[in-house]
Amino acid sequence: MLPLMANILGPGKVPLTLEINARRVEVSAEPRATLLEILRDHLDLTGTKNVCEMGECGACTVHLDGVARYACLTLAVEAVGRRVTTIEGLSSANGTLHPLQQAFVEKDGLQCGFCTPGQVMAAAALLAENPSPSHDEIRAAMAGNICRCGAYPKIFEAVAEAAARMKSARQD
Amino acid sequence: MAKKTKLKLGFPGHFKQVAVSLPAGDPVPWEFDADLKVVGKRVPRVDGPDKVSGKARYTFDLRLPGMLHAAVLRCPHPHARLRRIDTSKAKAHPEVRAVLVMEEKEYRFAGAEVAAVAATTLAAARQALGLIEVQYEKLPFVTDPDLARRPGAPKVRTEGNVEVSLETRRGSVETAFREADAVVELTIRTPVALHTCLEGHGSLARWEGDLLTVWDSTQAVFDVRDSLARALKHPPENVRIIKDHAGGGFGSKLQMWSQTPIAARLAKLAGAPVRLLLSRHEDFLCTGNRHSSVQTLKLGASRDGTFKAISWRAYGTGGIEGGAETSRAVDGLYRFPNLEVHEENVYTHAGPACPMRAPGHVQGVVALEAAIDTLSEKLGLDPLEVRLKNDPSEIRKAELSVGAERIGWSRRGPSGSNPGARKRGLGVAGTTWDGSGLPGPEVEVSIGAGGEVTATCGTQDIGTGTRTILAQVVAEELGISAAEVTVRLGDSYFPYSILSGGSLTAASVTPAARAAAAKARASLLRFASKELGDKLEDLECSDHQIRVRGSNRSLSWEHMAQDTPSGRLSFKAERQGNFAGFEPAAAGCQFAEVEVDTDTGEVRVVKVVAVHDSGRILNPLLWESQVNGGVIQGISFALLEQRVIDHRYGTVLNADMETYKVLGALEVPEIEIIPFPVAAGFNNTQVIGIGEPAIIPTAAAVANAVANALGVRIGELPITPDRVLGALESHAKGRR
Amino acid sequence: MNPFEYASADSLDDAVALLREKKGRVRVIAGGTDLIPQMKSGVAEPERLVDLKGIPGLDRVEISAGGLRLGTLVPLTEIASHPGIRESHAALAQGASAAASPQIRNAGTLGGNLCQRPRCWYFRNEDFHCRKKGGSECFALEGENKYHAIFGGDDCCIVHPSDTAPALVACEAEATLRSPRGERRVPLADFFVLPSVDVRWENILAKDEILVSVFAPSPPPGTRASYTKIRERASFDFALASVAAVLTFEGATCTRARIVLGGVAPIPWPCPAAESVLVGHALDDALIAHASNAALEGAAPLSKNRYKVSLTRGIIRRALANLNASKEGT
Ligand SMILES: Cc1cc2nc3c(=O)[nH]c(=O)nc-3n(C[C@H](O)[C@H](O)[C@H](O)COP(=O)(O)OP(=O)(O)OC[C@H]3O[C@@H](n4cnc5c(N)ncnc54)[C@H](O)[C@@H]3O)c2cc1C
Repeated sequence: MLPLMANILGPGKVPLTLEINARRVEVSAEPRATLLEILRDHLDLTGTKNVCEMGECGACTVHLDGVARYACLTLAVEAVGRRVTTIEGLSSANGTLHPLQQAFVEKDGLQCGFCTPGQVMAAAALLAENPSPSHDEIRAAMAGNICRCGAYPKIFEAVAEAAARMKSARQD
Repeated sequence: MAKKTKLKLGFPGHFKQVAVSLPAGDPVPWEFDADLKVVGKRVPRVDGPDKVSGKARYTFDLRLPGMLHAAVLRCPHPHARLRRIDTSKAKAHPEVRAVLVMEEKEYRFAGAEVAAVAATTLAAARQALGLIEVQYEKLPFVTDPDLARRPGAPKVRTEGNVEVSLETRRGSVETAFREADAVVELTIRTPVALHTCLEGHGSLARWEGDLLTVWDSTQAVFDVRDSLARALKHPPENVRIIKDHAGGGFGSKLQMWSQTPIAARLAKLAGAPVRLLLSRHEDFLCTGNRHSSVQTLKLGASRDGTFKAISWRAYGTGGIEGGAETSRAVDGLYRFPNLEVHEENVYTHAGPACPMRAPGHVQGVVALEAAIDTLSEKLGLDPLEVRLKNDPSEIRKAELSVGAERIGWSRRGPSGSNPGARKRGLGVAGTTWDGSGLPGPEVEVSIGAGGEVTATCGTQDIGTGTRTILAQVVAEELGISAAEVTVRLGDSYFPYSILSGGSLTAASVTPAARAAAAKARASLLRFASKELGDKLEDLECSDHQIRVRGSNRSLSWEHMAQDTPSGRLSFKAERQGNFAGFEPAAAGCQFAEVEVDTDTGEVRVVKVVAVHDSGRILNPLLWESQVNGGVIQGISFALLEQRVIDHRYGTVLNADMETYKVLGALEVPEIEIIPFPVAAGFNNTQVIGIGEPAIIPTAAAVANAVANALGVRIGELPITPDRVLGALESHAKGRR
Repeated sequence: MNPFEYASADSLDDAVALLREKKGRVRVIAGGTDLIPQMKSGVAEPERLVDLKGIPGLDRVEISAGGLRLGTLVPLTEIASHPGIRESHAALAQGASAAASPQIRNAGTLGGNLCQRPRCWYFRNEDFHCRKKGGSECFALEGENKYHAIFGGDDCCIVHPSDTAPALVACEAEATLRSPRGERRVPLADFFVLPSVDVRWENILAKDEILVSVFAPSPPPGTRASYTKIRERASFDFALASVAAVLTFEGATCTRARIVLGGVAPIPWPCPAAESVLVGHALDDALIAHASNAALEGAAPLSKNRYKVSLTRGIIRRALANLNASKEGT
């Protein structure tokens, strides 16, 4: 009972087709390459930050099929056949900021800004699933994203503000 | 020539005329209630859109064509000497382009650099490290400061492990203690803490002939330039340091660390740009920390709570670096007629300390404020009343009253009086910090041929909003909006500035920006007056033009810039020395309410009220962010953070962000921020920094609130469940 | 991370066959949230990963009259938020929601959570070749052991890190395992093993064996359950101590009790002594105190984790009191 050899990739470089921010991209990488490495080092999508590499900070949060994930704990091969969205894919193609991004700027939901893309992506996943979160739900959803500068209070405000704006935009 | 005049300084109800000597040529300070259009407004961060969209490039995000990746071989032993090293196999690795062995052959902490490799990929560089053959001679070590103080302990420095760092005496503490009605003594311990800036330490170095450019994650481009030039024996004018955005610093990026010269050397050897980014683990071992402290304070007062004397004996360890003082805040916070300070640095075989947000103050205030609460308890006095009685600052006394009202201080019961398992408590603490700024920084304001305004300065924005406040100050002076000013910073080829730390930046840089913008304005007016033939006093500067009041005649800046040979008008000004201020330092206080669960030992901070003076608040939105940040880091220090070393092996056990715990979203309490604006003096924008003041009192207030809740003092930070339960248990035993 | 080959299995047969090769240096990858950190810190150096995510059906939640069947790939997020699970097996839902962070719960699976390796900071540090890694010493026993075991840790004092394991053991769950030799079912309580049985591995899985699903029987009517977890940092943190409590009441009388502790032993730690104190009685403060004392009998704290004794006692007491009160409320 031999398994199909076709199923086995690597350990050397293999071609991978990924769908990132609604674009198909081809990369060549070893199976051990994480999605984070591919985004940053192969595709120069450096908005997704590398901080702890161990799933302990949230700075590399991206969406995989719309769900918030740590890119440092995701192998690139695992992302094949799934939709990857990064911070660069959140604003519209013409550069208009997403309402969350706008609210982060206006409410000052950031300081040094290094955790910010991850925070915004965590918040975007929340609002996609729960368009009118309570204050406690916002905090719970942001619990996997460390902000060392301590921007949390204004991050919470920004998420609540964006939720309100997106809601009223939908009603218009 | 300096201009002698009087300024109205202070705050409502406490204004006074203060004689000051204003620097020649410097703009007259804005009045306390000046009607400003841009300064003092909630202007969103100018670099916000780039940061929220992932466009902002930090040092860690930069790549250059042909760039190599570097990795560092680190000594695993806390103390060792190099016996033998063979790098030939690493050099033979097909992807390796350069190998460097450090000059230093004795390693004094686990994590010290031994050798470095540059290769075409990071994986190859790391793999090549494994090919380096090293033999160490292990040497005796000591990482526990209590053991390091003992005679016969393994030596960290030839001069011995203990260094008296501060020794002060005033009056006679012995007599005063004898005469005091109440004396208390207590010992407070604080741990080694790690800065944990999310962007770690990294450098990207490139040589073009003799010109070395390094993109460095730093808080101090000029200091790194000078240190690097010295390290490489290279002329400083041929070294350029660039830092556009920085992912935090908190003091850990004020000095050059080894990754910078390593990257530069490898780049030279390899003949290609080299990027060296430390991993989180390396960052935690090697690039600074907040020194620990063991502080024994003795405090005496008369029956009415007037302090008579304080004795402050402390030691702490900053690993292989010194600088463990904790008592610096003592005189700024309270009046002590008799005082005795004895402080020691204890050297240990552990990673070096460096300044961390309000170094020494954070630790010292925890001990000082604990002693005051303990003393108040003994005297049966309200600790707030005792503070008001001994506080030398009019500002802080007013702040204490405001804050007490907001937290509901009158609810505070006697310590430990709360029934039930979940106990509430209130605590308070003060801060003093001189953030009035330094002379030296230069800002250039230019108007280009398109009329665009640019402010250029080699300062850094590490997340505090320097870019934004510079834009605001220049915009204010020129009558435009902040968005119309482009700020360029973070480059040692720009006009000089000081490091970004110590709450110095706003107060050191914005006065120079204002002076340069004022020069620009005056010059535009003069030029227009000549050109238009109108009197200066009939002209006004706004909207990118000089206009003649009451007419529709005007001259655009654009036109004036185009009229110069370079097509660009540029004006530079330097920050002058400080003049007199209302009080010597910024004053503030914080109140904390906590809930302690005596079944589980969990401590939850319910609310913090933060009342702070920082002179003129240039931008309340960003200022609040600074205060939030200080409070949150303060709570994190009080309740969570501590580096753990297994002293048997000298190994750091928690060099990661799972076991070195910093505060997350669910631990954030309600934070009520009360700005306390003061006409402070000192400089032409009358701003005082807020970065450090905001963190100084938090941990102290939280610790005092916990003591109030429990009726038991937890003598060691962080206040974790094990310590709470342990203290309750020994307290219960003591009573039995 | 060392280089490895990646094999995506599309059936269980395929998966177990892929596991048999490479002399055991093969690891299953589910969500990867523990395996990838293991590889990054050198704790695991597999030559091959076998990804289970292509196998149909392993992410299924099935609720029937008899109980709850969860495929190994069900994400923690789904367990935490599933209305049916919250209703029938509250302790499990609460355990899942108390684990890790939102992003890890999105990626992390039930099977991965049960099979994750311990977080002991000596085990996870390459500089320490501890007993669990084949060395001869447990560095924590006399070292920095604040987070370590107070029960069952004589040879190696790790604590089992999973928050779903104590809850499932308290629910009397059964695990289905699959290897080239076929399928076997074991009570989940017997799935986990003490270091005295196997110091190198925390469960009975053979190298070529896969956890396929977990079945938790429906609790009898009148059952109340909860999972209480204490951690230093609420945002995300492993348990200092936790307790899964499942009590069945008939009227005021407690007719069945399961109390299982987390964070205090190398395995989910059952408390039969405490359970027997409760069964057959109406609960009051004195009985609850008696039971929580009984649970901590035999605890052997180390130099830096004495606090776990009173902490654990405190949360058992609180959990039992709350369950008793909730029963009265119905
Ligand atoms: C920062 C951080 C904090 C965390 N906090 C908590 C916490 O508080 N509580 C808690 O419970 N957990 C916590 N975790 C652990 C987390 O919940 C687990 O990582 C996750 O549940 C594992 O699921 P996974 O699917 O990602 O497993 P993987 O990483 O894919 O696998 C984990 C291990 O199990 C093996 N494995 C997986 N599936 C199977 C199977 N079907 N059969 C046999 N072996 C299998 C793998 O080979 C591997 O060794 C934390 C993790 C991190 C990184």
